[in-house]
Amino acid sequence: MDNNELKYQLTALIDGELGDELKKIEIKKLMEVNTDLQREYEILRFTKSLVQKNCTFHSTPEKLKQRIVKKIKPAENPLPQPLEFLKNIFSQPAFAISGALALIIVTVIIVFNQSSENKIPDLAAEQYGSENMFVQASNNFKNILTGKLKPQIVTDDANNIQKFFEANGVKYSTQIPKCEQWKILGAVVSEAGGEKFAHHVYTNSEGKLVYLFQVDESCLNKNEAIKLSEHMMKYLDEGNCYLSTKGNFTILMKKMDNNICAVVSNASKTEIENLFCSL
Amino acid sequence: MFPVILAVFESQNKLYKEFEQEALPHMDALYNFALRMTGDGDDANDLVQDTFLKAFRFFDKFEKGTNCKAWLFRIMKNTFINSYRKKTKEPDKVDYEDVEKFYETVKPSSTDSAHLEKEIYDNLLDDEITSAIASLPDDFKTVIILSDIEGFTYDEIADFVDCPVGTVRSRLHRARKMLFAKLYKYANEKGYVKP
Repeated sequence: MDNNELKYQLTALIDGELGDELKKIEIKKLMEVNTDLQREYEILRFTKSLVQKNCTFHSTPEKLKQRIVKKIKPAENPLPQPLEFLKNIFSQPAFAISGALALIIVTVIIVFNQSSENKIPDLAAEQYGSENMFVQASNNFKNILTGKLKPQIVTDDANNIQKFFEANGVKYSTQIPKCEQWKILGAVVSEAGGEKFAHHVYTNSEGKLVYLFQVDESCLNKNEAIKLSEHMMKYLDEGNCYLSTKGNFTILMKKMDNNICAVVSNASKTEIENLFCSL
Repeated sequence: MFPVILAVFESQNKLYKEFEQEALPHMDALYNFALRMTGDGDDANDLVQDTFLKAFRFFDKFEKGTNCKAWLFRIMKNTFINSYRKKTKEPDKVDYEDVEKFYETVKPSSTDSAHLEKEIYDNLLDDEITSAIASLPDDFKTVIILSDIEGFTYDEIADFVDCPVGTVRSRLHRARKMLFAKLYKYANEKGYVKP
């Protein structure tokens, strides 16, 4: 078998596309004696799993779905007869009460169906791109865990943190929630699109971390360097608390006063929910 | 006149119902592909919309019982090539021989996937991996997305890219090596990989 053909068959083996059982056995035997082939197999398998693990499957934004359906769905029945029929039926005394009841039932059904259609879209799937706050928060937390993002100030005093934010150009008022059994560890001020942003971190006795990234709502509307999907903004604006998990992390989004906050932690989802959703 | 209007209305309604059942459920898969190919949310929205409008216009030509998802992807591919590829700069063409040579030089000494995962996966950010995929030439990017993200079989990919299954296999092999070389080089430059 030619060397390239053999390598291509490694790819087919990884993808489960090598139908022939004998070929599978032959390749596995060759790998046992050929370290180069074994290495190539491991690298290809690793690359495939890396793509599968990291590339989130995005759902279509609800707005786009509705726009497409609206453009292709035929108009309602153009013939006026059914309406005329309904109009006439309600003018008959015998049908007046039952007609009114039917109308109420239909209205209830329509309202009920509308509310189920307006269910929350998959908000996490709508967040993508390097300028997205949700993505940034998740990446920053990864950097904190690996030590690549270190606090610019180390203090457990909330007042000192707020002073640090002000002194370093954060223009909006910041929230430093008190979290029972959690101690403030430090803070960082970042810059994007000419604006300064506030980040701070808590830790607990088990060494778990909670990272809070807060941005003034008006910044999210006007600054091109930081964004959130329209649905997410609306959801938070209505006073909701959005919780999601990604690998071992919990990500929470919540509006506190005028600030949109992204909380990322390696503590349990329930603990993060209890700490921040009631604030 | 009414019966004629009614007949047209009913046939349109029937076509829409069929389209709703057959084509609309694949919207997420198409959106995901559009997002990766264009690398831009707004362009992805436009590409998905154009694809579905075209598909609906020609839905009466669609052979019922055949693979609707593959048919939709073919429409999207043609729309992408004709409209969006012109707007965006195609990633630089890469000489695969160079990639192969480079790949040989960056091949890590350890083949243990747990070790590779610790060095690369733990450090690289999701966006860095997405950018590396986006920077692949279109032919390579397409097979990676279809196989590893969308979960298409080789036969389905071959149907989509209009080439033999053997070409899909070799392209996937090269695409993964090229992607690995990019990620490894990047991780090395950032100092994530221990010497």
